[in-house]
Formats: sequence, C-alpha cells, structure tokens
Amino acid sequence: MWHAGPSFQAEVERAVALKIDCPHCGPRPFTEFDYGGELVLPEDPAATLGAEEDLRRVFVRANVAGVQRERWFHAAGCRRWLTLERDTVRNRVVGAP
Amino acid sequence: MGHLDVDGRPVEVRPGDTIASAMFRAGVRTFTRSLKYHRRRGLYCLSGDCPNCLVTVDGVPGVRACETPAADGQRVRRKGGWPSVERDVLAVADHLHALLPVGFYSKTFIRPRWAWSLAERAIRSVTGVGRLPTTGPAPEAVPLRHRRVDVLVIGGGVAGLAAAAQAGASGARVLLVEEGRVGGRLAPGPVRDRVATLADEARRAGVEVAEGRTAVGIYEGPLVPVVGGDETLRVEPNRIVVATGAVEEHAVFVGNDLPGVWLGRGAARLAGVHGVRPAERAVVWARTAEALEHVRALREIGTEVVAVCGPAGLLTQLPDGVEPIVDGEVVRAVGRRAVEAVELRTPEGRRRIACDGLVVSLGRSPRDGLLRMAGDEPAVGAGEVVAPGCSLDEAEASGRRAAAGGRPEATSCGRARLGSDGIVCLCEDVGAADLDVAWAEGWRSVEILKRYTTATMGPCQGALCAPALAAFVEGRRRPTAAAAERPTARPPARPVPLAALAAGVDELPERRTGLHDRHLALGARLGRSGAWLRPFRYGDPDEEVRAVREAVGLLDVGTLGRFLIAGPHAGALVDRVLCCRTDDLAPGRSRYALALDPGGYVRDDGLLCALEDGRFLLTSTSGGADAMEAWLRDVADRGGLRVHVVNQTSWLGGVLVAGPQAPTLLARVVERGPDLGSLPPGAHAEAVVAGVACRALRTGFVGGYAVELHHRRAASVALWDALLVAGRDLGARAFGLDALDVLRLERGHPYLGQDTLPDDDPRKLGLGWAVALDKPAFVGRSALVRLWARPLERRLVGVRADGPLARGAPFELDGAVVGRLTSAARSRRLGAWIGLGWLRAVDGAFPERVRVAGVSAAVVPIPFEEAGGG
Amino acid sequence: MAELRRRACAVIACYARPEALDLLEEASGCRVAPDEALVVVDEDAAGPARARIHRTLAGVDPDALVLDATDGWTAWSLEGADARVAFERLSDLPLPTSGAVAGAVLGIPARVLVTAGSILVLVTSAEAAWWERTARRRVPELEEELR
Repeated sequence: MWHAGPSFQAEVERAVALKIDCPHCGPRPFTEFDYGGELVLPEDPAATLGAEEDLRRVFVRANVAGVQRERWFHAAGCRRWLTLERDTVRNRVVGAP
Repeated sequence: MGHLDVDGRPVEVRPGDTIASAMFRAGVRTFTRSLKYHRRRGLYCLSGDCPNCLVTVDGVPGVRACETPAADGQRVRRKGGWPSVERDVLAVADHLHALLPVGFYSKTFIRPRWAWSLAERAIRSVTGVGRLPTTGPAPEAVPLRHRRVDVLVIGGGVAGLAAAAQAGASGARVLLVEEGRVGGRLAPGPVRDRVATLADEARRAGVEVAEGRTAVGIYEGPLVPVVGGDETLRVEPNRIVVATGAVEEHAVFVGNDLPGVWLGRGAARLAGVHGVRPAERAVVWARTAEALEHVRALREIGTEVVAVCGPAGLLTQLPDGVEPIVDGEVVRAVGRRAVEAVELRTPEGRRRIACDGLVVSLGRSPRDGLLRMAGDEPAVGAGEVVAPGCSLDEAEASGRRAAAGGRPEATSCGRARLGSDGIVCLCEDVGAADLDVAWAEGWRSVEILKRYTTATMGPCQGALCAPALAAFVEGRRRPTAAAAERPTARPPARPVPLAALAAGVDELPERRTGLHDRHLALGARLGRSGAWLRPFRYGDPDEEVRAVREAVGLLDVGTLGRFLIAGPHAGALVDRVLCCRTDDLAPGRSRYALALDPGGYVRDDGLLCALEDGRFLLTSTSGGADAMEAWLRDVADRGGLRVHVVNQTSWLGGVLVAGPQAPTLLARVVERGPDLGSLPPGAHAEAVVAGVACRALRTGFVGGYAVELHHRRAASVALWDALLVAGRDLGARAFGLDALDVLRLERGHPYLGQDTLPDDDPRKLGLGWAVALDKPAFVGRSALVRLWARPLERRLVGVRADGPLARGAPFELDGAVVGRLTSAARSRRLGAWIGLGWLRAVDGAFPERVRVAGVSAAVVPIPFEEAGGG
Repeated sequence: MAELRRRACAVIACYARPEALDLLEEASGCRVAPDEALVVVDEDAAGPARARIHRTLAGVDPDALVLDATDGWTAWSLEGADARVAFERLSDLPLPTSGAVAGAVLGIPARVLVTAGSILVLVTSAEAAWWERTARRRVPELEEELR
C-alpha cells in the first residue's frame, strides 16, 4: 500500500528553515538566498556541441536523492554566488566543495 | 474579583481562577459540543491538551478555558450547540452516525454532484469549534521578535527548571518558556515545592523565565516559534531542552467523553489549585501511585471517593472508607447529561456504581510532539516527556543531564487502553468503532487511518489520542508486525492564533524613484509595476501619446537596471553574456543587446554602452534588474572572470526625453558636452544638463527621437523640473506607462515577460538581427545553432484590426486556436487597433489573417509601417 | 526606549582585489565580499576620504574602483537603550558588538553597522520609504525623528 513516509513529510516542512553558511556573511536562513539549481559547468565557449549533447547540457539534470552540488545566490547579503553541497533528502547543507 | 459573562449569565471569579475553574464552580458542566455528533463535553485534562474547554472569549474563538486566567468582564461564549450548548437540537446527530460515517467526505454525497454543495453548507453550519469574527475591528497586529540564545528550555516543570538552572549556572544564555505559569497547574505538595525551589535556582542563575509563552514547533536551524505574551518570538537557540512533560493516558471505553469523566491530574488540579470539587461522589480507576495523591486531593476538597479499582498492590494503601475493587476495570460510563454511574468488570462479575465523577489515572503518555518533530536538530528531552511516570528526583536529574547536552534514557510507556468503543479522538469525534470501519475498508497504517478518519488532526494535534490510535493499529496487526509508529508530529503542536502567525508579515516591499513626490504633485495615478511604484498616467494618456509624437514628453526611467562593468575581464564578460558583437564597440557607442540563457531563450534586453578604460554600462529592463545582476555574476563566477559588477540601479535616476521637440528642449538646457539633439542612434555621451551631470543614451524604444538621461538619483528632481520648465512652450509634458504602452506598441517593441514566453529565442521575437551567430562564443550559442536548424513554428507578430482588441484573447483560424494576443492598444495615430501576439505556423506557413475574439485582424509586419520615423 | 532617525552620511563603494581591501583602515565600513567594501563617512569628509581610499587601493590593484554610492543608500540610525530589542523586531541578523553585517532587515538587503552608540542600517534608496514605514509599523514604540 502507498504510504507517506513520515520522515519525508517532516523534512519537507523543515525546508522552511534551511540554513546556509555563507563564507562571506556567516550562517543565514535560506530566505536570504536565490536558488540557482544544480551546478552546471560553464559551457566551453569554443565547443560546438551536437544537438543531442546540447539538449542534455541545457535540460537534463541528475536530480539526485542525496548529496548534490548546487548554486545559491546570496541576494540579501554579499550578492555573490556560492557553490555548496546539499543533501536533497535531509535538506541540509553538508559542505562546500 | 468581579464576574465573567458566560452566555449572558454572570459567573463569579475568585483569585487564581481560570475561566474553566470559575465556570465549573458556578455549575457549568457542559463546556462544548463535540465537532460532529454534538456530544456534551466537560472539563477533562485541565492541562491544555484536550479540546473540551475551547470557548470563545471576547470574540476570539478557540481559547482554552483551562489555561486562560479569568478576568472581570470577559465575555465567554460556549460553542457548537444550537440554539445553545445546553439545549442542542443538533445532538440528534449522535443518533444518526450513519449520515456522518467515517470518511464521509469520500463516500457520501458523491452523486448527484450538486448534492455535495448543499450538504457541505449544511455540514459546515452544524460542525466546527467556533466562528472566526468577520466583523468588528481587526485584531491588533502582533509584533515579531527574533531571539538568539544558547539554550532554549521548553516547559517550566521540574525537569525544565532543573535544566535551565544547570545551564544558566554554567554561564549560558538561557530562555525558558512555559505556556502557563510556572507551578500554576500544581496543587500544594512535594511537586509544587520542588518547582518553587528550582524556579528560584533558575532565576538566580540568570535564566530568563517567560510565562504564558508556548513553543509551537521546532524547525530546522533550529528555529522555534513561540507565541503568547502579546508577541511572537522566533527563537534561534544553539540547543533545545524539551521538557513538556506527560499527559495522563486517555482511556477508550464507552462513555469516556461524558462530562464527569476526568483525567486524574485534571481533577486534582481543580481541587488542589482552584479549591473546586470536581464531583460529589467519585470512582477512581487507578494504575499509578500518583492516583493515590489524586484520591487524597479529592477527599481533602470534600469529594466522597466511593471506590478505587486497580491492581491489588496499589489498593493496599487506600484510606478508610474507600472501597478497593481489586483488578476492576471500567467498561462504561453512564449518564445523559453527565456521569451518573459507572459499570465495572471485576473478577467477581459486573458491577454498577452510582457516582457523578470518574477519575482515570492509568499511566502517562509523553507530550512529545515537539521532540518528535525536532528530527536531528540539537534537541534533547528531559523528565516525563522521555520517561513518563518518573520520580521527582529522576526528573530533576534528567533535566540537569539534558543541560549538559546528554541524551536521556528514554523509557517506553505501556500500550494505551482501548475498549470496544468510546471516543478515541475527542477533537474530531472519532470513535473506536469508526477505526474498526476504516480498518475493515483497508486503511491499515497509522498515517493512512489518520488521514481517512481525521483522528489526531484536531486542535490537540494528537496529544491524547495518538497513543490510542497507535494502540489500535498494534492490536489489529499480526504479532510479527513491527510496533505501530505514532503519527508524524508537525507544527503547530498547540493551537496558534492567526494574528500570532501573521506577526512579521509585511506589505510587499515597494521601490520608489527619486521623482516619486514629483509624480504625486503632478496628480499621477501611481501603481505597482513589479516592485516599483510608477506613474501610469497623469491625465489623458492619449494626450501624453500625442505630446511624444508631436512635441516632447518626459518619462521617469529611474527604474531601469543599470550596471557598471569594470575590471580586467569586463569585455570578456559582456561578450559572453550578450549575443551581439561587443568587441567592435568604441567608447561612446552603444548597441541593443539581448542576454540569452543557456537554452538560447531571451532572459532580458538592454543597451550596452562602451565607456573609456574598457568599462561598460549595461542597462536592463526594470523588472529584470535583480536577475540580470545575478546572471552577470553567475557567468563571471563560473567562468573565472575577474570583473566588478556594480549594480547602480538605486544610485541613479533616469529621465527619458522623447519627441520631435526633444532636440530643441535639450539644446536649451545642455550646459556642457555635445549637442545632444544631434546624438545619432547607437551613441551615448556625457553632458551637464541643467546643472546635472548626465550620461545621455540615444534610444529607440518609443520611436522617434529619444534620449535617456542617467544621473545621480539625488539630482532627479532638479533635472526633471528644469526640463519641464524649459519645455513648457514646446508642449513638454510627463507621460506614464499607459502612454508608453501605446508608443512602444506602435514601434512593435515587445515587453519581455508580457509579450514573450519562457522559451522564446530571438528569432521567435523577430530579433534574430540582434544575434551575432558568427561570434565564436556566447551563452546560448550552441542552443541557437540547434534551434535555428529547425523551421520556425511560432513567432511574435503584429496584428491590426478595425474592431477592438482585448489582450489575452486567442487567435483563431477556422475555429482552431493558433495563438494569443499579448498586448493591445488603440493607436489614434494609426486610426486602428494594434497588438502583439504569438502565432503558430499552420502547415508550414504563418496565417495572414486571424480572428481575435470575433474581430478579424490582419497579421502585419512590425514596426507598424505608419509609425513615425527615427 | 529607542529612536529611529535618518542619518546623513556619504557612502563609498570600493571594488578591488582582496589584498588591497585588506589595507583599508576606515573606521566605519562593511566588507561585503572579498572584493567589495562599503565605507560610510561624514558627508563633508567624503571627497578626501574617497581620494585617500583610492590611493590606498590603487597602490596594490590598478583596477580598483572607488565610487560615490551615497545616492544609492539611505541610512537610518537606531539609538537608545532598547535599540537592540528594536532591531530584534526587524531582523534575525546576529548583531555584533561592533562591526558590520550584510543581510536582510525587514526582508530586504541591508548593511548594518554597529558602533557603541548606535545601530546604523543602510537600505537602498529606492526601498527606503517602504522600509521606514514598515519599521515604524513593526515597532510602534520607535520615536519619531526629532526635528
């Protein structure tokens, strides 16, 4: 039978208070930040990608249930981008690569 | 002390009274009617855990009478009955359970469909626990306050106070919150004495003790919202000690919700704290030593304790005159309006004892909702919340250990007692028989039963019934199955007034330009455009359009995004972010520029101006400025470019001077710098205008001759006034966004976001000319190569019609929808309605005529031909 | 008791390599990021301060930018015995005993400079009117500006 796992539900709610340790400003609630999605390596300016590869680069994300590297913009503070590692299941920042 | 007004009847208030104790002393036994079946409900827990005493006080519904101090003049209304709680004709529902079966939302009134809307109205009118006030003054705003402490202790009992005192003594900043008053629920005795001693110790250790404050949740951070005391706290502690104690077990048997059935601590509290007799003749059902304390408290207040049933070991210590009924169990409480008798099952057989009170003291279930929602936040439990039934000394020791950060030893409590029927969930009126039905229908886990029956989902959030629900599931499962989990705990753990939730909710931030007061003085109609407050019109927008086309108009463009880009890689950044050529742009030249995303879709547009020393000024749309800054920094950061991106949007004012008389006007006011009247398209220059240093940008958005004057914000008023005065005889006037909408439409310029879709590449917008695909690298280039290899399936087009066009209308061709009108205006100048919209290709070609809401419209090239030159 | 009043001051925005900004000795400023600092000085000291800062930075980083950002920011000072309590009603930013932080105050980007006598809050000029209105609504006890 379908069963709403209790841990999942609890984590979803805790998302309201995700805390991010900004290297310039210190720990802040995530509401000071804009989410920039999974880290995508910069496109190689010189590379000419085939259509298939280019579609992947633009649209396909790993969307892992676990630790992923992602980008956050500290809009209310230093206005700089951070790259950090977040556990998408527990919704915790686990480190900065 | 005065009087309460309870449903129009005066009720005397004595010192120390809560609303509940005053009402009970005055003879009130029915405090509410239950949610669905309108069963009578009376005082039960007296600890804020059950819904039985929720009343409306001075118009505020859902107030817990047992926790709220009584004060002279309070207007108390009991809820749930019609015409009154005492004489409730709706109690007929209790005999018609078949109409409101468990899960009735899902199974009754399904067909015919219209029946539900009638039934819903009927059900809503007879159920519920109060009415939100919809008239009268709005409640006062509750202030919000952020607090940071080392240790937050939740609960001011023995364990909580011990933890706070210990932590305070070690030098930590400690905040202790207690929802009532410290010791306020305790009758005189050893527990109250211990609490008083520890409270002294805590205060001496510098602990801040906040009474009348309720922690309602634990969020990641950790973040703990605390309501009460006329403000809402958002506490960010480094550590949390949860010492919320335990509530006595809610036993499920037939009649367990009749007024006169008490939890032991509730009856003891009424007797010991408030000096009010809970019953004249009481039967006590005991399984804990604490029950003997309750027996003593009851006898002291003059209640005749007729009998105590329970295990033999316990009953040896009963005082004289109380009949011990060894191994007796209550199977039923009987009575019409309140308890009149109890039926017992004893080893000797069934017995019935007449009484007006049944006091149940079978064990404790932890009040651990907060602890369970804490997840892996640094929160530890102390005292009864982790060791229900622990001794005073154990509670104190547990608190002191928790202060040191130690994890407590949790003891499990026994399984809750569950009879064949009786109310499991008092809040939602869910009986054991309802759970049986749900189980039979296949809903077989705690979480699913909870959702289907709504048990544990009422105001008490499962404080009493969650253990009973878990016990039900455990009892039904095969013995090999894992122990049933408690339902997930979620905030709020206690009822929260809406005003407390709204604390700190503000109006949306609003941005103003330096000309705000000037717009007001000119009688502008201001409105929001994104985050900005902007003038939409000053008078007749048609006149404003005419001024720009025939004379000269002024538009406040201090909202445009403006970025100074400097540093060794400034050129590399703009070349990568923008899809136009940038390397050939000499200082003093500018170019219309699109910023694409990696998918080749248009993010924003603006003007790129090359400055001296390899610096650039880039403008963006008003709504896109924040995103443009983030995007510039993102591309620079990921590309390892050394640049300084300076967002000067709020530093600068901007005035657009547009129209055939603009050169004449500017010639009158330019004091230093080139003749701005002959500034060619694609040029910009520094000039001093009316004493204000400006950077002048030739632009084409409205058509004709137009120059943007960017300057320091503080000088906006001086510049604006000088231009209006100097241009008076030329017919200069201010124009707003309504006029701008017509002006830019005549030029066929789309508003990004309004006329565009998220997947519009430049070609779809007719802006392919702004892309230098021969440039070797820019963001979105490989996507454009991919996209442009395919035929164009959709594009932005201009339409022209004689009849009125309404924005948002679909484009139709032979009855099929082929597009949508995204902007429309009547152009006086063209004598026609014009608009922009996106249109799909049909069989590889774009239709030349479409119908727009019944009006025939021609698809025409943009800019609309007749629009003025420039 | 706390009062909120508009404070006239000059704001200097500095952009340079981190090692250049490390040399700044201005008493009142906020190191927004490794390569950006905001310096707050008295209005009449703005010109000389800008020149001095430029000399300091340019000696290390020829690409250093020193800009007058006075118009971009509006400064409010929060003073009085309850200034910190009043600030707790406006923001969850951890206030240092002295020094500066960049973060959200009333939910919008702000720079907060703490000195012995006062808390100086800088918000963008575009949002200043909204900010003051909202601050006074959140903390009605705040005394009006003395004129």
